[in-house]
Amino acid sequence: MESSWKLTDAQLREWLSGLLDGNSVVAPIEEDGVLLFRPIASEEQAVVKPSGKTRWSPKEFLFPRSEALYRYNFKGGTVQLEDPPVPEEHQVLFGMRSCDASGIVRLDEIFLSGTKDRLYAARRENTTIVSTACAAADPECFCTAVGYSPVGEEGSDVQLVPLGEDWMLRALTDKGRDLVGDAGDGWTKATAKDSKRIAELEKTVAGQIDRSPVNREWSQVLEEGFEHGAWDRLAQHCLGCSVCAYVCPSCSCFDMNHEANAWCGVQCRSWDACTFPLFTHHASGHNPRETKQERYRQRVLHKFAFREEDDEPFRCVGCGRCVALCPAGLDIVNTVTAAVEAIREEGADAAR
Amino acid sequence: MTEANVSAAQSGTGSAPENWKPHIVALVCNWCSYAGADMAGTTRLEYPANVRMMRFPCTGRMSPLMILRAFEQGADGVLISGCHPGDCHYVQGNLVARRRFTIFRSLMDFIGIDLKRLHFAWVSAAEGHKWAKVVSEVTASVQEAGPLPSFEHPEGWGGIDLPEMTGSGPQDLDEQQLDAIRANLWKAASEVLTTERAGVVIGYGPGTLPGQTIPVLITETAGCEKLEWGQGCRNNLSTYVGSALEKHERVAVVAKTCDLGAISGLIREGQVRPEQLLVIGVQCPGVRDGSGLATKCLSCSGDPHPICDLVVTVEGVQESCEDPSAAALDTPDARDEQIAFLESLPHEERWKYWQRQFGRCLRCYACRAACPLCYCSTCISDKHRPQWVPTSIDHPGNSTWNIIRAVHLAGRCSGCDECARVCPADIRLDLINRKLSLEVERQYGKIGLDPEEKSALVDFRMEDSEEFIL
Amino acid sequence: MSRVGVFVCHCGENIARNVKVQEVVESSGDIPGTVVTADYPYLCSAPGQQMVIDAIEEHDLDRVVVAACSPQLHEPTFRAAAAQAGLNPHLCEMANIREHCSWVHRDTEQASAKAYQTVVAAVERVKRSRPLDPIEVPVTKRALVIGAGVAGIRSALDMANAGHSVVLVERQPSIGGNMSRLSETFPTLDCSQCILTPLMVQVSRHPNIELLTYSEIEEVSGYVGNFNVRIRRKPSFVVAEDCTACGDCAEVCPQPGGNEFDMALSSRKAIYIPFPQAVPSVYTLDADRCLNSKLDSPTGFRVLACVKCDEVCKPQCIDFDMQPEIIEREVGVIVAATGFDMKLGQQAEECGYGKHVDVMDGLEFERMLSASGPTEGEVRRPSDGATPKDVVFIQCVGSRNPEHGVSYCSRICCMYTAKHALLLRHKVPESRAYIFYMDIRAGGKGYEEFVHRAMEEERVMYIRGRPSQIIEEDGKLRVLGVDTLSGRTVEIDADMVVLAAAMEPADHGEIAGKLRIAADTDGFFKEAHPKLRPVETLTAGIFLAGTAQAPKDIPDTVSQASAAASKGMEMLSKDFLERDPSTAHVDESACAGCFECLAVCPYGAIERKELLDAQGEVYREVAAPNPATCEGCGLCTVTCRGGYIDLEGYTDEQVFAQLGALGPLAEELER
Repeated sequence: MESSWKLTDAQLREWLSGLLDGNSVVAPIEEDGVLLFRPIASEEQAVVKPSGKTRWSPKEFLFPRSEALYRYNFKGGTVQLEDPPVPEEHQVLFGMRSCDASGIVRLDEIFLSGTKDRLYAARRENTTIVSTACAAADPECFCTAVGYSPVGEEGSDVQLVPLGEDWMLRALTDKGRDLVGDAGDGWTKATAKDSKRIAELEKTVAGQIDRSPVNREWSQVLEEGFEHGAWDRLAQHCLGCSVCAYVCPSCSCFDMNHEANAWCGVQCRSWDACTFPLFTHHASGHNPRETKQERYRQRVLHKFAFREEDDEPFRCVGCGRCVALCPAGLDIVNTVTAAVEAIREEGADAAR
Repeated sequence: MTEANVSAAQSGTGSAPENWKPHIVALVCNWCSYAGADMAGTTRLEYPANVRMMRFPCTGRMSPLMILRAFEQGADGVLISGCHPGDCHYVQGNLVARRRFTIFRSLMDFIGIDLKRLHFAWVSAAEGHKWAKVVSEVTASVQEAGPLPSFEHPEGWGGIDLPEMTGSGPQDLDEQQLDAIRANLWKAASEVLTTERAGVVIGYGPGTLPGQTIPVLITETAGCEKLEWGQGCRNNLSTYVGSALEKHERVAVVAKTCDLGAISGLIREGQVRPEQLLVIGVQCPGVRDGSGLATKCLSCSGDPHPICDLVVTVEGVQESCEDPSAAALDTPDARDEQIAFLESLPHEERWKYWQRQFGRCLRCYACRAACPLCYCSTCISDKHRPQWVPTSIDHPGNSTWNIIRAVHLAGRCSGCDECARVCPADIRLDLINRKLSLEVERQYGKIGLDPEEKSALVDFRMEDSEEFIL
Repeated sequence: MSRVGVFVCHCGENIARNVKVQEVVESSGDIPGTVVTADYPYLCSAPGQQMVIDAIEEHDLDRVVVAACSPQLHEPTFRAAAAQAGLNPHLCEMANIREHCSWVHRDTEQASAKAYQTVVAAVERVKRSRPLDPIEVPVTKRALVIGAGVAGIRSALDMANAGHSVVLVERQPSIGGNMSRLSETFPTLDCSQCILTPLMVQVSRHPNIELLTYSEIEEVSGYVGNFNVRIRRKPSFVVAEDCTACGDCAEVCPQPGGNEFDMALSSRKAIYIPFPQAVPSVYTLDADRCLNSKLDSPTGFRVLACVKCDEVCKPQCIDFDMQPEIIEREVGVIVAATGFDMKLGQQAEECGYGKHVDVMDGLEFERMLSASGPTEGEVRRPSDGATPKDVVFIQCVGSRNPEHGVSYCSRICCMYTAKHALLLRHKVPESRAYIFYMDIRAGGKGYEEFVHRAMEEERVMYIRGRPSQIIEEDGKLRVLGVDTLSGRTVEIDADMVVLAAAMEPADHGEIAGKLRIAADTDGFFKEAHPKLRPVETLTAGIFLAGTAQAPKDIPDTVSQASAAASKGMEMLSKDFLERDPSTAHVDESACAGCFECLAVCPYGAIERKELLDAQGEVYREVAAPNPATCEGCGLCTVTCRGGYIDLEGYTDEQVFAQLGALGPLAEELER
């Protein structure tokens, strides 16, 4: 059962203000010219717009850049272990785009399947997601080309749909309804006409995205062409940083490190990226992905192949941040398209 | 990781709890200062007990990373002490160190660390009294500075408005002129490949987003017509020279004037030999950054520098051979006003400014990847034994990373600003690197494009300045 | 996991008065890795050390921390004790809780807290120490002596007499140096040449000494025990073995010029022997004076305009085609004895030197006094050859004058001025000698008596003061000055003025640079320690002798020369030298080959090493520090940006761990 309302911007702001009571609210803010997610202290700080992504995804509020796995100290000559504190306050991630919300679902698939990641699970359970659908695409966006949508509902507990000056607010899950709470009583209900606008938005934005779609079958082609020489060419100019992985809504790799001194220490995990040269470096000195081309291939395949079922979505949600921010201008969709083309034309075994 | 970063203060600066006593770490050289401290002991002089001693063979062994770790571990102040210039047991350890300390200190000041916390002294083995005096003075100074401010995001801070950067930039080139340059570039590149003057031409090719170019490596003459030229040609292609040399004996690289400093640095530091390189300088309309010209272009003429092997302009292609020892570079200076402005603020404001910036750092190392002079096979930040740069993507580690990269570039940075361009968090790395370039220039003179010239921080003069040394 | 033993010393009351030793001992037990702690009144005593040794054995300790006095005092003591217990000495560390703690902090709480933290830092450091063994370096059994004045001669003879092979290099055509220029030496008034010449002859005849005169050091490479020296032998154009020193060539040579040996007071020909007693006793053709066209041609001279000397030479030993020769020698130790020159600067000019020909410096006057000198031992005015009656001597011309000269005292001038005055009075009985002085420094054996002899017996007039002006008038030099003891002005119409000019080192950085030894701001070679190591330099294997190190007289020079020889023989007597293992190491797999480490190394200890691939092709050059020459300063470790160089004994891990232990204490964390 869906609950949707139509709100003015002022009403939205009022609701947002109310959310600060009893929740930690994370929303896009502008800092030194950069649009970033941060915990806000008042609703004025939040930038909530019909379109436009933050510089990087909000994943760090579920999967922090760094977090302690355990701490210890040597007081009194014995080792005393400490579990890291679990956040108590409920968290609201407010104002992320549909692609980011989908990214979170992709992260859920990794962190919550099999043995749940305790820390992620605790945060995830304590978080409600309010996403904003998109009225326009950024130049780098390509969500529709990879099977996602600017108005996608995946991952959202509440979805805000821009309707000109106003907003449509849709509570999609129980969590979402809880978050709306009584506030909904003061709002106008959304009409069917309003709901039709959603499909219109999708069409408009899809039209702005000038990219040929990436076919689901290409995953297999890419995997078969693992040894193809095209991989060497396509990533020649990769610089081996990790901008792409770190800004990506669905990248989830991390490394664990120990930081300590004579008195105490902490084992912490921090973001890591398969694009770094040392990512697969073994203690023996061997590195199965010695070259940057091999590493970049791995990243592409992880996003567009290596799936268990054919109908599973791509792990790339099409936000395009990696394309916009890559220092060397690598374009993952181009790479995939070009690789598939080359593999099909020259055969999977065409030499490097 | 914040447990190991301990600060007695909870937030903000300067508000010391009652009975707070400073905690100071002293790095001293064995032959002079340690012995001087011994002498203070044998003479039974009394001085404050806040100092903890560490013995080193020489001030030459003391690295900025050590000072940073001391602060990360909660020290409120650091004192470094060694032999007087001319008396170093190892002839010149303190003289090389003196330059390192001068530059590092100016960076710490710029970042907003109160210099009352960071002291340097020359204390000889005979100067027991001086040692006691230095420790007393340093302790009083750190007491005044208060507890070390936390490495953390300044909550509720309004930010700073930096002054506008001004300058005119290179002359405008219209589409016709750009077409002409492009055609000449294709000609030059094809000829280089056909005559086998090089096995590969590294240039700019078309990108996906509007106006964007990407680095391309062209080995076939036919591919030369892919070469782009325009305001989208932002990368410093000298980053690709090293890897290209693994496959080709001789490499040609398209270079803007701002890329040349890096090329001469690579030669100076033995990463490429001049005979392995053919530099194609091209007349540049400036590069775009957002909606306007990049800052570095504001004080550049765009004219290709004659030390390039080939010079491509609207008119045509010319062979060139100017002697690098006569060459100086058009240094971008549009940001000097912003640096001066930051320096005019109290250090607490600077601290907040930079902590906010470093708070955004993702440790993606794009700055390192894009920098042609960051060619180390494994970076100091990747070193785990010991782990000088904390790996956690968090405040003290982020500050340490950005500080140490700037220190490593001091005297070498060519001002191409690639680091600032590629940073996804818009951290003003260009300001930090430019600040250190200015400091090195002010103290030790400018390094030009001559690869034979010794870089400032591996050199020293007896008369190098040391007003700040006790 | 290490097994660390922590031993805390009371040092009687010295530590225990201000540091709560028991508390430190107890708390140290909690430090991870510590398995035994103990305290003792005097750990450095025999029983104290035995306690440590016993504990190592009983508890199977592999690391030891002794918290006591300064390691500068007792590190060797406790390291030796550890070694006795079978533990590598480098696995024993000291924590200084006396000089740096109990002796300087009265507050017991603070001192104890600091002491404890110092112990923790030492434990963290020693846990990361590695067992190190001294580096053994073979010794080439040969010495090089640079400079063959009396210092070089004495050093060479001492070593040669002990049975060692010596290469003695001298840049002049003859050995002897400045001492051979002297007439008589104070205080005995021995004839200088008479006492020196026998030594010079011994050198030339010694089977163990290879004498290379008219030669200069071109290059020195290598390190202690293994130096490679390239010596450039200048062409003398006379075949030494055949020359009989008959002198026929000089007689017919048409090119006269100043004789440097006589301080240019006399002349010599282009082909010459510096002085009659020269060793080797052969003639030399000075290419700069010879009429024949200069060198730089495939043969010796480009154009032979004059061959007069060759025409009269009976043994036919003149070879115009002689080339400079590069002689390479391998040596184990080097003695630098390059001597001094007179320094005539602003103050000398103010006294008229260079303006008035009757104003001369001490060495010039010395030549005049010498029987083999320009005037055959007679004192004559250079202007008119007349015998002077009134001679003014001025001391401290340039010395002790930081503004217009050198700040140091040249040490020998008071004595030789007294000698000059005395000899003048002997040679010219009716003469009057006046000495303007600031102080009289006559500290050596018999020196004070000598000066008194000049004052009392010879009635030399000593005037305490400085001349303010010297004016030439009617062929005499009017010296205007002040006698500060009486307060009266003094005016002397002198026939000659002799200046005791400052002594400066003859080497102006060339030899210092080639040997990579330090020189002080005045250019004198720097000794390793002014009190305790006066003949060594900080560069292992290189020693100093004579005035090259500092102004001094002949007895001190000869003493120092023997001392340097003794130091040299200390090394030559061994087959292997042991060097401190605290040296730098490079991770060759990571080194990027930028060689900035090489640029900063004070010792040239970093070499370029080629790495070869499986086919034997060079694929990279990396830095390789030589453990034999590396002195362990650590400059390279900081210069290396990637952190690929580490210093044994002060490794990055050790420093890192220490820094981790020296932050605010765990207890403070709670606040």
